Amino acid sequence: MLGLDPNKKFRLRVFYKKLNSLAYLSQLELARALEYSIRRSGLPFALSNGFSPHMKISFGRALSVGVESNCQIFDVFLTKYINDKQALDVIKENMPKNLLAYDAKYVDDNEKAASDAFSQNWYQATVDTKIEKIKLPKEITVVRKKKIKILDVEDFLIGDVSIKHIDRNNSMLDFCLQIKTSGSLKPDVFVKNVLESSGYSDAKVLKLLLYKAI
Amino acid sequence: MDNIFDKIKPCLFEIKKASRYIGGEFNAPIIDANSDNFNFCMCYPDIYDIGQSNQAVKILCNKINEIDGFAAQRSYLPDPDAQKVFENNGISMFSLESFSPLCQFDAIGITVSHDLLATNILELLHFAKIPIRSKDRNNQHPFIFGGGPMYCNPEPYHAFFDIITIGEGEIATINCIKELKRLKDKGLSRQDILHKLSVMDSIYVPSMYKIKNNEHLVQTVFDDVPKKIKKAVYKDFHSSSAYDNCIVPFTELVHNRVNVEILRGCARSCRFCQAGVMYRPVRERSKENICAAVKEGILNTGYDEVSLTSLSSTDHSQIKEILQDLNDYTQGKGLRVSLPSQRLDSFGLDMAKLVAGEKKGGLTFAIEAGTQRLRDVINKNVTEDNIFSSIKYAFENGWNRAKLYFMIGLPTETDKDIIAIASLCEKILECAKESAGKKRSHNVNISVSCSIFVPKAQTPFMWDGQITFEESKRKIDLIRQNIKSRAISFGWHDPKSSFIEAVLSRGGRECSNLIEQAWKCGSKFDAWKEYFNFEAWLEAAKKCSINMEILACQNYEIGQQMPWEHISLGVDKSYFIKERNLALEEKTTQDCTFESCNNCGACKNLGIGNKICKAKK
Repeated sequence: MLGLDPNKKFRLRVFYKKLNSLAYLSQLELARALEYSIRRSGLPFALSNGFSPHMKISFGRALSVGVESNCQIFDVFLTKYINDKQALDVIKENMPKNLLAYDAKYVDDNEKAASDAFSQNWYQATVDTKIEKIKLPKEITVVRKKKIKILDVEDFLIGDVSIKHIDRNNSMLDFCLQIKTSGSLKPDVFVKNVLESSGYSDAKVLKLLLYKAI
Repeated sequence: MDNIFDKIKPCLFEIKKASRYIGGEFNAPIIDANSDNFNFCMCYPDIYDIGQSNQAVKILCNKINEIDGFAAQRSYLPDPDAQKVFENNGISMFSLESFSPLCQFDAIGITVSHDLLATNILELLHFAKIPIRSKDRNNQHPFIFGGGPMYCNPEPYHAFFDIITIGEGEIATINCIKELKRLKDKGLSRQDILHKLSVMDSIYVPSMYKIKNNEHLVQTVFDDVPKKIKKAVYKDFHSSSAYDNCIVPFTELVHNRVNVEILRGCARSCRFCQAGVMYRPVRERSKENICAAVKEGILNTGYDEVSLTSLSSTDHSQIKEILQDLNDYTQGKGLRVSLPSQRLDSFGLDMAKLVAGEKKGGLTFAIEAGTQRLRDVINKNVTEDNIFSSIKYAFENGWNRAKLYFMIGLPTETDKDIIAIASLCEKILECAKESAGKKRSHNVNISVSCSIFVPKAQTPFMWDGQITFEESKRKIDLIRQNIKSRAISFGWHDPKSSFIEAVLSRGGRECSNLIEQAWKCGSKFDAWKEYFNFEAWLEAAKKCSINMEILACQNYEIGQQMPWEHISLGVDKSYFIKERNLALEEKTTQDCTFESCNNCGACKNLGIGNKICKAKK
């Protein structure tokens, strides 16, 4: 075809879930697992330039260890156009159990990087206690690179924390945290502080799921 | 069996590298804890990062999972911090496929690839809540199998294993567990089962043998138990597929690559080498078999590197054709083919070009001794010509780094041989720099690693003692003083851990007490620098009244009966004696796959000869 750029890369955005035991993978381990999946799929991935060429793939924002997710993304750059449904099928087949690709679509080159694609993360935290009432902390203290930082909760929390009783012994907390370029408030840290300030410091978090990202 | 993942999950928050304990890797089998299968758990007594690379675990799990009615899973020791967390939460050692406690399995296999894993075997059994001594187990407990290089002299481990498989597990272990299932289904008692298994080929049941009257050799308890146990050889190895299902770990290992076993066995006959005796005769897989396996391995794993593994891969009669085919295949795909340590006498110009790959890692050469005289004594048939031409070809063709292995404390060694190591390394560096040319010579570096000779059972040097600490230190200092160049880095193995290796390598049944005491005194992860506890071993030896110096350093009379007389690897004892005497005369023995037969007895005694694809020069 005339005018077709032979160096054009096709940016395929893959949507996947990271569930159950895979919550405990580090970001690096997850990245490698996704790379191996792409290699196994046989898709024509592009290589980066430079002395040590590697797969051109970019990942969504890193999840904290222990957090499951229904809405993760990564972008892989292909050297050839492959039908997105076919690409999705072959990626699905080659992912380990508990990494579940559910959608794939091409995005424009000038689309924001995968790590900046979303600004709001919605979480559900399952806790092993019946939570009656929430008292939000005003500030949360975190340690970042040996420095103590104080984060204002209202900078990160959008809306309220809603409570749902699953059964006699367990509750689910539902909340939305904003992602800021200046830094983030991790959901596990947030939940721990909320439980403490509400008088449930002994409560254990059984599951933490990122269920929606926009 | 139970699936205790729900109990394990909450612990994972407190543990570093939790990926080691979650299973679920790509290509891992899916195993139901509740099925009717005979459940076998294959263990490596070290952490996941190390055990998951072990070929025996991979091969046996794959083979057992192919059999109807059998299921094999994996398990590895947690790192010590993680183990504390598990123990504090009431969790005992569990498998990675169905997360079932090891104590609920029908049988457990522990592969012992070197003697510094000894105390970890006990750590594993203890964490699994299984009595560490065979005699204390009852019908509720799994049968504990041992295998791996340990079988050359299994006596130090005799108290801990119910069954030890001698030789290749594809035959010995598989046959044994099939028979074990059959006997268990018939309802026989544990004792009766062990007695019946002891009669099988290549199966050693230590409890069916005992030491009488302060002698150091074992004798059988029953008449039908064989007096000598011969190793099993997987006779179809060469025609079997080189492709093995390969699990892709989430955890980053030292090497993340596909391993394809291209041949088994090595007939170079280096006199210190136990592996060469363990795996003879030599059996090569065909070029077509290997290349197909490489391609399938890459497709099924997504790895970008393949290692062609064996004891001496450049000795494969078709190695050049294999590398040529693979080079054509990997061209432009970003894939690499690597070979373990190269033979200096087969690394010519063409090999240098073929092993290129797209990235040039370091090359590894095992020279072992500094003078031709000593190389002839140990039968390392490598000349200075071989060394310098290999270095020349390598560095002319793009390599900048080489790693050289040497051994000190070899039989008949003198200071002249020691100083020669240093001068040889200097000469090699000079040659490397010259070959690399002006542009790259400042990038050239040589790293030298020196180990201390450990007399190994079932080798011609089994009667030679290890040198003392003082001697080790003196010789290492001598080398260091004589290496002047900064482009040569010199490292050496800890003489204390080498000493323990020597003790367990030649020790007899008394060493079970030693290992148990050492473990009770706090020894574990002896192969890890940060954990090796020499004082614990000294204390244990004192408590057991064992003189470790004799076991490690004594020079026995050539031909003396040693604790492993009842174990045969197929090679006649007369051959070992002949070889040891040839060493004294500084005479060499040639590789029988190149030259004529040396009458070691292996082919005759084992009923299978060398299987070579193409005639060698």
